[in-house]
Amino acid sequence: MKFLIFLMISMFFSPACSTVIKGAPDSPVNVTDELASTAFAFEKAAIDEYLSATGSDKQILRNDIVHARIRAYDIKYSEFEADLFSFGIGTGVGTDWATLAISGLTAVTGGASTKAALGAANTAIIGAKGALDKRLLLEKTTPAVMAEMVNQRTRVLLDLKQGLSQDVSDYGLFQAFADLERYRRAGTLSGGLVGIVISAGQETKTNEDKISNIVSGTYLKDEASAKLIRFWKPGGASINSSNENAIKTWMKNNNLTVGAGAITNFIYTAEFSDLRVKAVSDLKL
Amino acid sequence: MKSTHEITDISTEAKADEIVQSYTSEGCVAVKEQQLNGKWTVRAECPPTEV
Repeated sequence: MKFLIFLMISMFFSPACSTVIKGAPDSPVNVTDELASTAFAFEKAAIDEYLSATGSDKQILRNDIVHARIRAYDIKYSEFEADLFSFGIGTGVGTDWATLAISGLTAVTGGASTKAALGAANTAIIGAKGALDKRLLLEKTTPAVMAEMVNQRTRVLLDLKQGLSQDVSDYGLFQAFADLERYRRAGTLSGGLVGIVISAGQETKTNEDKISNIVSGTYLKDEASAKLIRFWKPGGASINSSNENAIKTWMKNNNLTVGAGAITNFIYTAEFSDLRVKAVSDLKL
Repeated sequence: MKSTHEITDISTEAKADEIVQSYTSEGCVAVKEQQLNGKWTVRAECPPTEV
C-alpha cells in the first residue's frame, strides 16, 4: 500500500500528469541556430574589422554587430521570460491537485494504517506547498516587474535605433555597446525592480509637489472681509480692476502670493484675518 | 503647474456658493461639496500662481 501511495504522489508530480500551462507558444524558429548566427558579433574579429573599416562600410559593420547583439539578447530574454512564467504556474497547480486528491483518499480509504500513511503523505505535501507559498510574493509581483522590464527594454531599444540612424562619428560602436549593456540589464529582475523603485520615487515627488501646491484654509468672513469685497467688487458682481491691482500690490508688498485664487483665499480664510485688518487700514477702506 | 485651493468649514451652502463665485471671478474652476459634519468645502483649481 505504501508503494501504491508513493506511486500516486509521483504521478501527480510527473510531467505527464501535472497540468503545466505554458506562457507562450513554442518559437517556430530554431533559436539555437539563430543564436549561433549572432555569435560573430561577440567575436574580437568583428570589432577589429569595424575599427579598421572606413566610410559607409564602418557604419554597415556597426549596425550589423549591434543588430546581431540585440537579436541575441532578445532570444535569451524570451527564454528567461518563458522560464519565469512556466515555473510559477506549473509547480503551483501540480501541488494543489496532489493535496486535494490525497485528502479525498484519506477520507474514503479503509484501513487505519493506510489512512495514517495517506495522512502523513498529505502532511508532507502540505508542508511542501507551504514552502512553495513562500514564493507567492515573487509570483504575484513578477508580472509587474516583467512589465517594467519590457518598458525599460523598449526605451533603451529606441535609444539604440536612434543611435544607429546617426553617423559612426556621432554614435560609435562602443557607445552602442554601452547602450546594449543597458538593454541587457533592463531585461533582468534587478533591472525591473530598480525601474519600479525609480518610477515610484518620481511619482511620489510629483504627488508631493502637487500637495505642497495646495493652499488650504478655514472659512472666516469678518468685517475686514466685507470691506475688501466691497472694494474689490463695488457693485457686488464685477471686479474693479484698479482696486484689484491695489489689493494685489498690497499683498505682494506683504509677501503674499497674488496668483489666481489668492484674493479669495485672503478674503475668506481665518489664516489671513490679522493681515486683512492691516490691509483695510493700509488701503484706508 | 496649476494650484489647488480649498476653503473648509463653510457653515452654509449659500456662503459656499459665494466663494465658488469668488474663485470663478479669479479665473479658477471651483466646486463645492458637503462635509460629513454638514458644513461645506469649496475646492478650486487655478491657473499657475505668480509669486
